Amino acid sequence: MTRARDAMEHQGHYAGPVSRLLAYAADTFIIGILYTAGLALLRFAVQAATPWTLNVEGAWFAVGAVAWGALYFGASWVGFGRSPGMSLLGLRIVRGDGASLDRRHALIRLIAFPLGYLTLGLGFLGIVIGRTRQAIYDRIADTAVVYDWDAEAAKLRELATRGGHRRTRGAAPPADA
Amino acid sequence: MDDTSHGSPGTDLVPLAGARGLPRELAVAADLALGAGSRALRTALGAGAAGLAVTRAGGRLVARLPGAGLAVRTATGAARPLAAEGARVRGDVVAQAQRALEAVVPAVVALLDVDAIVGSVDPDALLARVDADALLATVDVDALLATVDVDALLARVNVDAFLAGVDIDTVIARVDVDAIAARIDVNAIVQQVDVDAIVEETELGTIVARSTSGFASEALDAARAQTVGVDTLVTRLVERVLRRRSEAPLGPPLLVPEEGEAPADPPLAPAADPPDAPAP
Repeated sequence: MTRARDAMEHQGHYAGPVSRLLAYAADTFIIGILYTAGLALLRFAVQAATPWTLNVEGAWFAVGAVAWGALYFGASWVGFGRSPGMSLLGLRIVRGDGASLDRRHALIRLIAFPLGYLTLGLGFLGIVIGRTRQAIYDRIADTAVVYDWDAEAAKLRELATRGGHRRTRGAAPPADA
Repeated sequence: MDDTSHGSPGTDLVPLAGARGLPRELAVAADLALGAGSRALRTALGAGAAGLAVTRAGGRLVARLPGAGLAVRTATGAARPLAAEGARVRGDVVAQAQRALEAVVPAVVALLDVDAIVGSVDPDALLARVDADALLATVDVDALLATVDVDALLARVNVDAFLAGVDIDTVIARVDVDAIAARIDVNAIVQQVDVDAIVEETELGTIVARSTSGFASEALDAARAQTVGVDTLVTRLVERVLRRRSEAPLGPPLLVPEEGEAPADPPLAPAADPPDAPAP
């Protein structure tokens, strides 16, 4: 079982496929929730305030979702160098050499991002088998995804919690004694 | 200086209290008698020495004549009683001289002003003539120290009394704490501190836990750590399937320098914990 103190040494390393898949899943979930909720709210507002009814279905729904996703990823990458899903998993986008991500490379990555799908998923293979864990859009934008979470604080939390539990057990007599 | 007119310091005879009123005529008569006696004694000694030389020369001349050995033995036999008589007289004279000296020396010592003698000694001049280096060179310090019983010496030291006499405040006031602190390598000390043990074993850890951890943070830490573990497993599996022999780079060169390289500056700053409910 990997502990927080063991995970510390991985900080700055290329993020593995499972972390990135989970981060992407989290982002997709958040995008879906926010898009659906936002669309429902907009439909209710239009219906309440106007005589029309907003009916977004089919291609328009997909186009809206893609646009919302692009806004979601673009804003988070340009603004924070990571998406909310990546924050959750402790990942960060950096330049290929490890420098901080700038706006230009973030936008290139965003534009190249659909290539992962347009290549029928082959564009994502680099994350699994590539030596630098770069997808096709990472290679085009010269970016990489690394582990970057506050593992030091996590280690201290883990130590403090474990020590506190041990002291508590030592102070209180066992229940069956 | 007045003392220099009386000869060398400390050698003046000081008249006895009773001799201060000695008449000048009597002193002159005594000097005349002593002078005449001294001259007569000197003359007699000179004559005796000459006679002795003549006798030795005559003896050597006679010893060369025929029958001299017999004559010498006869003369020696005749002279032996005379020599014995002479030895006895010499003994008597020596004894009388000793008695005379025993009577005279105390009187002479009484005439000496010892204080004046001692007072006239210049200790500085005396010490200046002492070659201290040569003196010390002859001292075997090791042998000297070997004879010292340090334990016994220390046992005789009353440390409590010594410390009672020490004004600690004064001593501390003279200590330059800033200079001492400047020589302390705080970084080296801090390097030796096991922060993990402090956090785990002390109440400080409890404070850290209460102030930083919550259910969400702990769950997130655990999830991230587990994901890193799974990533490592998957990576190893892929490496094995692809039969890669060379090791892949662990991370970007600025974040994970190669072996022997110094870490790049600046490293990636640790990111703040993400919000539990991420914003869009």
